[in-house]
Amino acid sequence: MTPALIGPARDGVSGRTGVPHSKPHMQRALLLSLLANAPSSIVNPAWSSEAESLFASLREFGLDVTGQDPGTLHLSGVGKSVKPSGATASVVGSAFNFRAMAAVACLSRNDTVLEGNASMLRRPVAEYLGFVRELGGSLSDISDAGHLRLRIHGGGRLAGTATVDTRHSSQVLTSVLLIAPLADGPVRIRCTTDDAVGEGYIALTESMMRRQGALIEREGSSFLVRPSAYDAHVHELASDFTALSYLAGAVATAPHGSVTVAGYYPSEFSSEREFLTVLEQLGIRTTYDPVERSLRIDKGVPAARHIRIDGHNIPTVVPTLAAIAPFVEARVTLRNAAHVNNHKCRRVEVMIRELTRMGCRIEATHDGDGRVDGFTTSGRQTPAGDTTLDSHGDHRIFLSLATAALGAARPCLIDGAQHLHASFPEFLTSLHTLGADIHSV
Amino acid sequence: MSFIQHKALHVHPAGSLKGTVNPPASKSYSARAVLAAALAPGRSEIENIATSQNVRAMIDSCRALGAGIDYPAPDRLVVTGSGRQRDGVTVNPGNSGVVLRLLLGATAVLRRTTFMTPFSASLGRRSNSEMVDALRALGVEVTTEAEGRLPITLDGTRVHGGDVSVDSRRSSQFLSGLLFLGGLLDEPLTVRVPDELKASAPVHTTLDVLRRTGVEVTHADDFMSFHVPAGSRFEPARHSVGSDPASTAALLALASAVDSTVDIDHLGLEELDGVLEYLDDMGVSVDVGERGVRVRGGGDLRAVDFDGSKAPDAVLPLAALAAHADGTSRFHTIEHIRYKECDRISDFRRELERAGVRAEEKRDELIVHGSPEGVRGGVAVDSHYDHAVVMAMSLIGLRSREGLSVRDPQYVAQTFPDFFERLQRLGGHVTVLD
Repeated sequence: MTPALIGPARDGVSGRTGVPHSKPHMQRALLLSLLANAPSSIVNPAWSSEAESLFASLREFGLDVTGQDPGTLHLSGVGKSVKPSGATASVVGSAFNFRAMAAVACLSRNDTVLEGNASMLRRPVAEYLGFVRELGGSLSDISDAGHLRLRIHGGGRLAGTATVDTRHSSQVLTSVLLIAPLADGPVRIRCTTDDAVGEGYIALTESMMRRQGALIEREGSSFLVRPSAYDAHVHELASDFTALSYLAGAVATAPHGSVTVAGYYPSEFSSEREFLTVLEQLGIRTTYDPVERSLRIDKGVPAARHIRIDGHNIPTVVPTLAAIAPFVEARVTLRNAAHVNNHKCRRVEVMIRELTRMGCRIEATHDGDGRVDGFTTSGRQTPAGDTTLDSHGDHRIFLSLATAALGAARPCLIDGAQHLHASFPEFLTSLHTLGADIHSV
Repeated sequence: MSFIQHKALHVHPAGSLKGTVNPPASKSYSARAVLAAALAPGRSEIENIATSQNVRAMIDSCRALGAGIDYPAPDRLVVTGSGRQRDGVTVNPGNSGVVLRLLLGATAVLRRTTFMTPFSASLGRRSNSEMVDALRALGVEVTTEAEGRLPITLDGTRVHGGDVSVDSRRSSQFLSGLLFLGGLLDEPLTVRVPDELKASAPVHTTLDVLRRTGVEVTHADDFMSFHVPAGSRFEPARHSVGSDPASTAALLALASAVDSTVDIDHLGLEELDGVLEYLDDMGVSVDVGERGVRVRGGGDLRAVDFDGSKAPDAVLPLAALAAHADGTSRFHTIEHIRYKECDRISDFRRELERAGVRAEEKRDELIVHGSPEGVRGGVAVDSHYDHAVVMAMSLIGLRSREGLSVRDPQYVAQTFPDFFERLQRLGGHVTVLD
């Protein structure tokens, strides 16, 4: 456990800082760089342990590094000429990576054995790979007690209709979509649900594919992808708007503040646009300068006396909004976010509990099935603080609680700073730069 | 089967080629027309738009800069210019020199436009110093690598008109880019060519497109100075694109190389001055109709010299054809083709030699020692990121005894995306090597 002591930001927060770049963009940019039979450049690469693992797997399938400038990675892909360099390609502990590499293996004319560690055996991976057979390939499970191991053969003519279970994750759909343009014939993809989980991620996949020349038609929950080829591309990775939310939160919870986020690249995520609209309603104004590539965050006044927020399409920032809500000069109610409780911890419930422990008055709301689906607050507060808060091993909870602690009367000790590497490793340094009183303990 | 998805192909020897083929639309004209349309506030239409990757790079760039772009039909483009392009955009010109140089001119009035290419080993190595010098002289703040190499960032906050010189020995694309800029300035712009203009045909295309979109450029008869009057403005227009010169030249040469009767139904032979005469001089049977050319190939070929300044895009396919002539052919006045996707003299000569063709080079010349029996083949050659090299080396493979493998053939798509599919339809045989 690495706790951090966050003091009240009595003098407000101000200054310039930065945020990390987007992990979902990075994952897709890496995969597209292999699948393009051409060079690609990734500007502002967002390295995480998961991205590094995916990168290593893609290197095994032919992705070549042709150069590296400060802030830019130059790569060369192989298109349909994917060929694993060894008998077994290892895919280290990430379900997304395993699913994506299984799809890539379908393009190879050779047998590919994908191997994941023991943690993969506990994740629902193999049962979601039915698309391999549906598109004309073969799949056999040769796992042992210590490894998930699958043998995949792409088959002679990759094409057809795949049914993808989208009840719990959009990762398989993204994986099949990404390889579909390189199939030998049209690929139809039918999702099992009309309202797929992770719609924002699916839209991101589609958008990035189209930009590189893929031919995709979408009708409701069905996709038709026609054969095409990915063009060479410069991927300018978007900034991580969820990381941005914590800086916006700092402006909201401190008595006053004005923060400029340098090197900010907006994304095409509908969730980001929705979040910025919510911020505006809460009285946090953002102004983007495309020439300077900077986003300025200022504090204003809420748009109404009662702000109502639909959390369905902005799940990653619901904990931040919980942290902000007690410091807004208006009543704030956020609903339709029961699914946010299905992440690393029961995020909505945990935030309500920990904020209450900090001294905030925040009430849970419930949906028709009695599940906690949001929260409500009743105007600006100054919670006492002076307590220890539990981030439950979840980086988003730590970041949100730290944001709220800036508005408390006395310092709060929050555990879990060691998990910041998962999304915003420089967060505490950023807060310190902005004038906050931070101490690692 | 899409051949451009693969890293290597084998072009087998062809017994004969027969049939009718339509060259793709001109990337040179298409790229200019798309840009002119994007700069004109309102709706423009382009018929027979090229589908090549270079033109797609221009379309994507103009879209990023704020133009609305739709395809009502696969070969028809509707461009809705916004009147003011966006500031702060990153532009990817792909691997196209003309897309880069035209856009360097057209975005020099904006605040902070950054140009980056993923082709760091090709377009990223090409110098743009002539353009950078000219833009700086016109008040544009330019941040760049040595010799004006990418990435380049422009800030046109203080751009102005006036009198500027641009060295055009290596490329006329800089001049064309400045003429586009002239159409966006409030002040008059005079562009002078201080030395010589190596390739004037593409400048004619630029002037044609600018005239159609309301930008009247006057010029000296010798093409050494150009004037764009004050207050010129791009206006919406309708464009119809003719055939691509590089692709048409390649098809003419391919059909001439082996036993064939091929009808090439083209939409004009712009930028191909002297090519038909050259084929005729070599002994190829060429019948010219109103809309097409019938080539009967496979006969004996005479070695003939060629002035490459007249049709730079035809040099590589004609040189590949000359490799099968009885004697030595000199392709002269071609130094400027060293500054294309690759060094089309040295890099191409190396690939010719690797395939078994004897060739020499001088600064301004490629010398090909022909051999009517063709090469043995059976080796692999490299494309050097260059569509012209892919098509020319495919010709060598067709006429060889064992065929040729071409590494990275996908770059043919810069100009002619379905080149290999059309070659198969004429009777050629191409297989994938993975």
